[in-house]
Amino acid sequence: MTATTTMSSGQARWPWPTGLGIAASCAFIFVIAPLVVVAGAALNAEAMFFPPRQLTLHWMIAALTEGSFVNGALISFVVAAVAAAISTLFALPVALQLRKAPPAVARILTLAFMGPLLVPSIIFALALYSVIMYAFGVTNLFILMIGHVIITMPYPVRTITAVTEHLDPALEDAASSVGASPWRTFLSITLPLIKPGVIAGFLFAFITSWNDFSISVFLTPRELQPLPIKIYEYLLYQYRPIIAAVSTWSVIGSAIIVLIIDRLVGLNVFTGRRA
Amino acid sequence: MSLTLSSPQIEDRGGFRERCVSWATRAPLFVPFLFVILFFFVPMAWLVATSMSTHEVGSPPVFTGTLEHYARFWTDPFYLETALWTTVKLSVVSTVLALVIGYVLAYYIAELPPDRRGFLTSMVVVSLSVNIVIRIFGLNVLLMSGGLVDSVLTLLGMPKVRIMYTELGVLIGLVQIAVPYVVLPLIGVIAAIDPALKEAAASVGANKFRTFWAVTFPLSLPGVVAGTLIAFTLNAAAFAIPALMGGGRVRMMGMMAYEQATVQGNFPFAAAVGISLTVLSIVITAIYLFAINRTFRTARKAT
Repeated sequence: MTATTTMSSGQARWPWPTGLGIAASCAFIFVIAPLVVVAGAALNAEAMFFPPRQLTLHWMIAALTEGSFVNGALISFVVAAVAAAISTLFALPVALQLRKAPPAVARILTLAFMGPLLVPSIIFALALYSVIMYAFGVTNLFILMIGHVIITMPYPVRTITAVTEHLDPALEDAASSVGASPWRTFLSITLPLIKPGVIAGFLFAFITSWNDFSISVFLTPRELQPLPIKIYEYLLYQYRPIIAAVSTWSVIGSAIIVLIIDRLVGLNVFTGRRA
Repeated sequence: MSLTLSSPQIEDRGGFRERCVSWATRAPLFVPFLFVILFFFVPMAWLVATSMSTHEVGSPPVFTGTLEHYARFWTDPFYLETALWTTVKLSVVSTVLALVIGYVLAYYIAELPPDRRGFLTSMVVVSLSVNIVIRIFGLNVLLMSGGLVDSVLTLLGMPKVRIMYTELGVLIGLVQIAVPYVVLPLIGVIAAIDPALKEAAASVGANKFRTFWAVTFPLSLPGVVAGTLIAFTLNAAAFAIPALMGGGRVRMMGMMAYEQATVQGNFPFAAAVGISLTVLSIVITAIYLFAINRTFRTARKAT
């Protein structure tokens, strides 16, 4: 029954069934090709080829014990988690005030917090780097984290604002009219209502920070390199299957995060439709 | 409505307690506000100042208000051709290609029944959430000489084409990274279009292509704009892609700013290139939005 309806509606709705299907398949292959290739290359015994010629799991296991990559992943994870937590905490009051503020103030707030989106991140990284170099002469993990908070903040601001737009102010007014303090109103009324936006914002910020390359390439301290920088430097100078194996683990990690997002808030946060 | 409008006045006339409450609700705003001022706007202002400073090897830049670094970048044919033109060309072309490829995929996914969109959508999201360096690395293995693409082309009897370390390689990299950013906003927008509108177009005799151009595409414009803006901004500032796929031969402005600052230590020139890139990217974005707005408005007037 379902099959027939899908078929018939599909035929009715798809303008050029085979043509579009083929074109979409090509586009899809183009999107996931690098991931498949990296995983394939990781299974090679000797040099890197795709498709692999002699299969082995040797490199996949070796990647998990290679200290420098494990360290890099750990640093990336900590930076992403802390930066995402701070940027979400910062975004909360901003998004909430945006709703109530007079238009002029709202415009200033939007400009201030969305500004980082207008400037290419590598240019902001250059700006922060040149200030830090002038002031301290060295960079450190703390500075890297500050950079990540700035570039990730627009995402939670946006997701939380998207949710607050649909929030009925009457609910909060009702709470305060029965004597609840602003803090109490926030905790028991506002926060539960905007929770999906907060979680989505945090996850967006986490992924942005985890993937970041531009900020990190400038602000990474020599001895504490996040994973993307480790892989980048490795790729510039050597080419062994272990780097494919490290990358494959990272792809698996990303897939797990996507799965968690799907479970928690749904992939709709990415496609722009709210759950 | 009138109640909301008059409430600030009541607050102003209100007692000490009310003013305290009003401050207490706004206080959490000051920390993030101070944070962006201190760590975003101050560094950006500093960068502008640096770009107008004098550079001397071994000593920090001295602000003199000079425009020599801008003049050097914007008048030297070498920079105009290698960095500026390469950046503009590659970022615009890659955005257009990413839009075409992304639109096809998004359209296909959006037309699927909602319960069957999951797998394709999640694979696009996974691709997006995988590190850019890793995706470039995968493309690298695929496109290198002796790689899969190279072998297939040879098998098909095509002449040998060098892809890696050429502009074509960088372009493929830019498009690959940008496509998911175009696909995702489009899925939601296209899926939200009321099928009745398309049926209406078909019932008055429009063919599939006409229906697409007259109904689907205009209604999906918000998604097109959102996706292409992200793709363009990302690609204009690309760094890892030209570095890993261009082999130092394809120079883009983001890369040049990085090299000038970290390798040459010439912060003022790096800053001038960086500010130029920022302004350029904002100007192109503004022109694009203006053009979209205009065509959109004239189209609406015409109907």
